[in-house]
Amino acid sequence: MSDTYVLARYREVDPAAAGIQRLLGASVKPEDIDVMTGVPYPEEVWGLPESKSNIRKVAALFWVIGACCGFTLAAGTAWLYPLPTGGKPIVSLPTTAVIVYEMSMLMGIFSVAAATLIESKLPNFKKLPYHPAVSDGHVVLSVRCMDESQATKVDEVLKASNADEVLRHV
Amino acid sequence: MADLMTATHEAAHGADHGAVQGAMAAPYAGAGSPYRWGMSVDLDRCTGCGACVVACHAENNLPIAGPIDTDEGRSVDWMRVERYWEGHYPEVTAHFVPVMCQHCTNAPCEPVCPVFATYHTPEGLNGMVYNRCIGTQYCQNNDPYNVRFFNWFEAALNFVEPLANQLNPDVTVRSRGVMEKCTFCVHRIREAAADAKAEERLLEDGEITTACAQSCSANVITFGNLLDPHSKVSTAIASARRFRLLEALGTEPVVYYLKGGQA
Amino acid sequence: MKLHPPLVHGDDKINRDILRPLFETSWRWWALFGLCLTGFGAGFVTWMWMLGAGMWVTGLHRPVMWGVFIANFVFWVGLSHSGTLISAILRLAKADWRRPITRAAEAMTVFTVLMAAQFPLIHLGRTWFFYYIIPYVNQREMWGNFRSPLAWDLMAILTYLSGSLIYLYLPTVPDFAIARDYATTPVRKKLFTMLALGWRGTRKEWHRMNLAILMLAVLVLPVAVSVHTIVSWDFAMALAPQWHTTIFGPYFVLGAIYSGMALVVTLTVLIRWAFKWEDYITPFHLDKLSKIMLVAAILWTYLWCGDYLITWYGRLPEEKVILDIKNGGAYFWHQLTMMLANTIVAIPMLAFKKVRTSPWALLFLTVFINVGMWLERYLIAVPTLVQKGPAYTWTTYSPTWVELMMSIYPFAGFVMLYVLFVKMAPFISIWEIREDRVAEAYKTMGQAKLRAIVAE
Repeated sequence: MSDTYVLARYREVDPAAAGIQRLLGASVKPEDIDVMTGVPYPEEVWGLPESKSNIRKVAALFWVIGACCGFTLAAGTAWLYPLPTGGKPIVSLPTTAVIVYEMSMLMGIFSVAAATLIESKLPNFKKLPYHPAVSDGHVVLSVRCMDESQATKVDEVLKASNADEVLRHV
Repeated sequence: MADLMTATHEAAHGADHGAVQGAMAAPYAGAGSPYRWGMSVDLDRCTGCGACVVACHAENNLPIAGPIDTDEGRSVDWMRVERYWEGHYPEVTAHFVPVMCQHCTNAPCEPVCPVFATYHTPEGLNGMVYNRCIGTQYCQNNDPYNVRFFNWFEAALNFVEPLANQLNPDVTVRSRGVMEKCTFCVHRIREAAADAKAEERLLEDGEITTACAQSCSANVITFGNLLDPHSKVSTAIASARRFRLLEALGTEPVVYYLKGGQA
Repeated sequence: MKLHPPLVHGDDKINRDILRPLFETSWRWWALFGLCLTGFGAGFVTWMWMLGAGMWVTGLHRPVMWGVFIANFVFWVGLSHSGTLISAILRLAKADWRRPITRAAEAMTVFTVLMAAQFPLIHLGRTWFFYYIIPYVNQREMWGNFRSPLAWDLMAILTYLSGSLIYLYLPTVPDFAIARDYATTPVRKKLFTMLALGWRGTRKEWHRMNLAILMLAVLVLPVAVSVHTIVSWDFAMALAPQWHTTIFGPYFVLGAIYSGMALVVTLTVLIRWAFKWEDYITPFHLDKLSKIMLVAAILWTYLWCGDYLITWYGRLPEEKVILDIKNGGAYFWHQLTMMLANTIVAIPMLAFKKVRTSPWALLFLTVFINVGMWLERYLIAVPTLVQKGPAYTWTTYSPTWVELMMSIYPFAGFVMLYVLFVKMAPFISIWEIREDRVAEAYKTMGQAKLRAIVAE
């Protein structure tokens, strides 16, 4: 399946946001529209359905998994090969707590990083629609089109929305 | 000898040692073993001759340090005779305190080792496993008695020919970079205990002793089983003169000192 | 919202200014790098030689088993603190002035921890068996002893290092994308393409990135606190006079923040001067950083005084002998210099805005503070050990040239990694600076033109 992408470059935010509204008005599906920017803008700027993310839940889950790992590591291994030291219990809860804490944090941190990359489908070195002007702070809209006729229609809508440049990515 | 298995001795270990053993409870160091090795050192009898130090060196393959290394604090003396002066010249009295590893029940050096190189044996010994030691030297920092020693030099440098001929074959020669300390002559204990086990009996009092106790001409040091209420060491420490070094720290040493009168 | 981006791609001033060190290398860079490489190499050779010769080449002896190596360890872990910690606090507090500072501070954390983490290995008697401490399934059926503070140390430092590395890398990905788009040579293009992971700056990518940075800040903050607390517990868990104290946790953390802030200011001043980034790092930023440093200085002094007074008043004989050698004995000058650097000079000077906004005064002051903080670590580790236990075993300690070389080693190594990083990543977070400028708005009130808040 070879999708055609129409890219529109804007120097300003407002015409880009207006362009999105025109596209939606021209019955382009919201999931086909993507915005590429050099800085994060609040989601409301674009008037598109809000992005959802499970990073928080994943982090909470792995935090708990990490705590269990920490307990197994500190208490479990001590119990597997019991060697008394310094008159302290084999399973010493206060010292186990330190390991539980560190392991839960470690797993939490790793899971946040992993979840972020997986949800954002990174790393990804395929040739996806992109315009290097994003790095200069320009706003670039990318619209996925099923066929050539739709692409032509989107092309016209974007040109009418004061885009500084409209081009195709195949 | 069955009574030995359950015998307890108040002097050897306080009432708190009767705690229930389980994973979450503090392990009772003497549990499961009929032995609880201990020592008494009668300071009133000590002449400070240093025979114990020499005997320890010979028995345990201690590295020999020259005057320079000793001056730099790199000598290894599992056993030392601390000498303190009291009064002003000419009325001066010398006091001698032989100090070796106190084999504390709550040894502070043990839990800080990250690799279990030092741990507590069921017989109440503060065990030291040279193979496991990676030389963090943390145990010495946490040792209130400063009786742990680090191997600064290669063993081959310590025992140049013909010194190597006097090495005790029963005792490991420690490699550079590991900690070591008094073992209560654990090789003697192990040998005798193995023999006794073969004969299906328990060790009797006086059957084994440490090199320092053996060499002491003034009978200062007594070594034996603290769980045996009739052993020489148990009798010796049942005395009002009894104290232990830095007792306030709560380390519960099994080396008992006797001081404060004519023996 | 009015923006004025350039007409032609590749012409943006912020990008050009901040990416310049990545693409242009002066002879000064090579000179500094060469110098650091020499110092680092010399230290490394000394270490390897010590491994072969044995620990007797150091000034260590019984009962001073921890000397300069451990002082260095604590010092370098401490320095790492203000990077990730301050960056996380400022991000969570949405303090906009943080933007030009955070990247350099986070990088500082990663490289100082890398240096610090070597010292426990350097001081091991048998470094070649260091892996005994790592918990993994092995034929010995032995695991590490998790009741030991050193095992906690291992876990804490690994967690902190991984956390800080992720916390440094993830927010840099959008900047790597900018570097990718600006790179001209094929090698750089390839390198930055790899590092940017294919970042395009889509709506979803930004949404997740912002969320991730927030989550990481929340997670990494308590880790940073725990790391230096655990380092302090290496001492506090020991039954040694002046070590066995509950104040050590917070005292170490504050000392770490203090010395770390001092290093952040030192580096900020030097970076600003070296790359001519006066437009991005202004006296306003130096003032803000110095205020945090001032707070840390006051709190550190407070805890130090508390600890001192209690020890002095208690007069426990074993603690008094150690206090005495600091107050009037072998460590008198160490303690006096430390107090001068960290309290008597630092606090009054930092109280003046003129000092807080003057780069060169700050450079002098922050280096002096870190001299004081190194002495503080030394004073914690050494005096206790020279007079601990039976008086018969008391001793003195003087480091040898080996310890000196191994103190130069982390400095050279840190600066070396830092200047290498200059070539690898934009040192000021470009996208965060631009985000600030996008959100920038002014409101007039009477005759005044005030900055209005438009960020979330």
